[in-house]
Amino acid sequence: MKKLPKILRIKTVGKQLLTCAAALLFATASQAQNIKIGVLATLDGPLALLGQDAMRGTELALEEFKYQIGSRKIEIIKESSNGKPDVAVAKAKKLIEQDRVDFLIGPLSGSEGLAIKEYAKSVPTKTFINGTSAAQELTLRDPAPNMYRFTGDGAQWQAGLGAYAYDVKKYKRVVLISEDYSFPYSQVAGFAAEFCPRGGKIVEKFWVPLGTKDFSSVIAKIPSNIDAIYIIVSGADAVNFLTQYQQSGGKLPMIGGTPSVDRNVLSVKGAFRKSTLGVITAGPISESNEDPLWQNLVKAYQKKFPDGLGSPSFAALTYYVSTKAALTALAKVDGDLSADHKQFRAALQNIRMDTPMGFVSLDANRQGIVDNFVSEVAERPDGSLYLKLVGRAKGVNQTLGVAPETFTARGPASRDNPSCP
Amino acid sequence: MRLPSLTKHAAVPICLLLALAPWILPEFWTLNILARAFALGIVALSLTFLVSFCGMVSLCQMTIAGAAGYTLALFSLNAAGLGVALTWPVAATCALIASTAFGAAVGWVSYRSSEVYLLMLTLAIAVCALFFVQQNMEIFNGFDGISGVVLPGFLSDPSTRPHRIYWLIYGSSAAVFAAVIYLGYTPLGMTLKAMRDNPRRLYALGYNVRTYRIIAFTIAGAIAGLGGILTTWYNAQISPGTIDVSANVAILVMCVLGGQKQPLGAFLGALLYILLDVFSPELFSRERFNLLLGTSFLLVLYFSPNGLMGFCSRWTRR
Repeated sequence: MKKLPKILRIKTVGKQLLTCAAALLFATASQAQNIKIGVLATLDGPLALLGQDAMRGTELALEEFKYQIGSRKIEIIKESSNGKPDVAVAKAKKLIEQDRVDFLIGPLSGSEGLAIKEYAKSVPTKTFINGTSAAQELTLRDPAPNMYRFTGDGAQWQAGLGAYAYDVKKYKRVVLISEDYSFPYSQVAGFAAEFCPRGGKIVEKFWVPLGTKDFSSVIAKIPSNIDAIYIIVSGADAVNFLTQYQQSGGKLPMIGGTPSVDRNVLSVKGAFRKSTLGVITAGPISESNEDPLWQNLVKAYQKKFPDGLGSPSFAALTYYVSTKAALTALAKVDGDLSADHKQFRAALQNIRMDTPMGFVSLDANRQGIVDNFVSEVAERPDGSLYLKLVGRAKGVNQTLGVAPETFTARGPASRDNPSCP
Repeated sequence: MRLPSLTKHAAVPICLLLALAPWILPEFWTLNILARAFALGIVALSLTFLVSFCGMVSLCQMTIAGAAGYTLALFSLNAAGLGVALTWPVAATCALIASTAFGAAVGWVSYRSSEVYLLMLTLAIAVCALFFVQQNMEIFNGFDGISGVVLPGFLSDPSTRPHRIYWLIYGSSAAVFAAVIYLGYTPLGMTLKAMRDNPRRLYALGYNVRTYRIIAFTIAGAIAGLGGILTTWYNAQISPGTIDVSANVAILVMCVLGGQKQPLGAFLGALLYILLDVFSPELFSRERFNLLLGTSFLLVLYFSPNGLMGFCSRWTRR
């Protein structure tokens, strides 16, 4: 019989198998000690820049804990979605079922969050911590018992803006141009809750699909006797709209939703940037906030990501706060994820901490009670744009200070609700 | 229709292995790879059927599957509180009827078009349907779609669900695949192939070509509808993202990757696509994984116009 090549002979094969088995055993043994965290953000699609920044925020939080809780190392597994609910659920399933993560941080987009909430209900043994996703319905109605949101929802993120627009800026009639999905509905609800009772009118609403590239037909239809445009678009859509509006010669002042003039948009180079001066907006960030926690975060961001956006965007901040809350709770129970995360979830519910976006605590629906910042886009001496703090609302809860029954009786936020023509 | 020799020898063992997959493979592989691949493979099969039997390429098969999916979601209990909840057999039947009717409508509208024009027309139908569904809040719930679809009783227990839904999808794929193979041997199948080869001769023989085109699209609609029902149950949700242009193109990619001339190619293409979709972010790049998908598609097309099945038949012929 011809001699087999060396690699196939029994002795060699046996040795190889033994080493493989030993390595696997060792690997699994050390793996069992690791805490696996899945991070889901939109690294694809119109919100890709926000997703990239979100990952940066998570990394900043993990660095503070040195990727370790007690004696256990933290392993993060990143996945990308593209803003669409079904892709987000597919990626979440992959993280939970294949990568066997202990808990998931994410998603980023509003509608993704609603789909992941339904998925979370079918996986009661794992915990889900929201990233940025800011649709009201995630926690307001029928929440998932294992899903936690430490950041505000879209309505909370507009607290103070409606009042500022009416009282200070004297805008009485506005027109709305917005992306057509759950997150902007929540934002309008928050804005209208203050703007409409004061006598403000949202004269007309234009809803465009997420990912719209061409706003010319909408810009042409803007009526003439209005004071401002209330614009809620994110990422690439915001840049497109602002450029096209400026090119069409539009001069109306604007009120921006949280993502409309955020750090992502302000850091893009283009002639439209001058037209963003004076735009008022509200959200979890104000870049001139003197809070040392915020200033330290900015410095850490600039140091670790010199090719980032120059300052964390709201995506980075929300993912930072969410990750930090999760890790703080985990550290409190010393990494104990047994009994279906019972201790971990109790620790999460009891989180009360100071963050770069103010003091954060959770309500009974596992929704964050947060501060909100009203800002105006201003120019620094060196020509760069930033969000200047002009107002702050403290301790905004999900019902915006209104009694819960009254608030939920208004019905879910949608295109026509609320409405004050 | 001649099966490639690979399939003939390996058919029974492979079918058996796939049936036993829940016990052989880790759950992630059965549930997230194979089940997804087979469910989407059924939709891809509807396209392969159209391409191989009738020589027609349609870019709205996923939309037709989505019609079944939305009908099913609206006729089941769901988180959006829309529609009317009916029992699952009634809901599934209505969904199948909806997709078959939609397929027939597409066939009726496009009976005069061929090749590129058919592609454009079906693409236009897909885009119209997408924007309609995305902007309609009253019935379709707009961008969010309908999530939290309640599954039928036999699928809802989380401990048995993974196996049962896999067997449901696998069984349906095997049944539909066998039906399409059988159709190739029937007079109807022969007529459709004749229509593919030379419609004018068929017309001269007295067959009404228009009727057969509509019949072809109707059958494809039924197959796609079955795929749509299974994907909706699998995902427990449906949204405009499931039926947008990239989803329809993905079906075309699956059909071409696997081999557009044989029905088995649909399932092979779907499997390859799902594998690339799931593993390329890890293996290639978190942010550039679409590049791998596109490049694979181009490479397979370049080296083997008949996709993976072309590779197989060339390999077995040698």
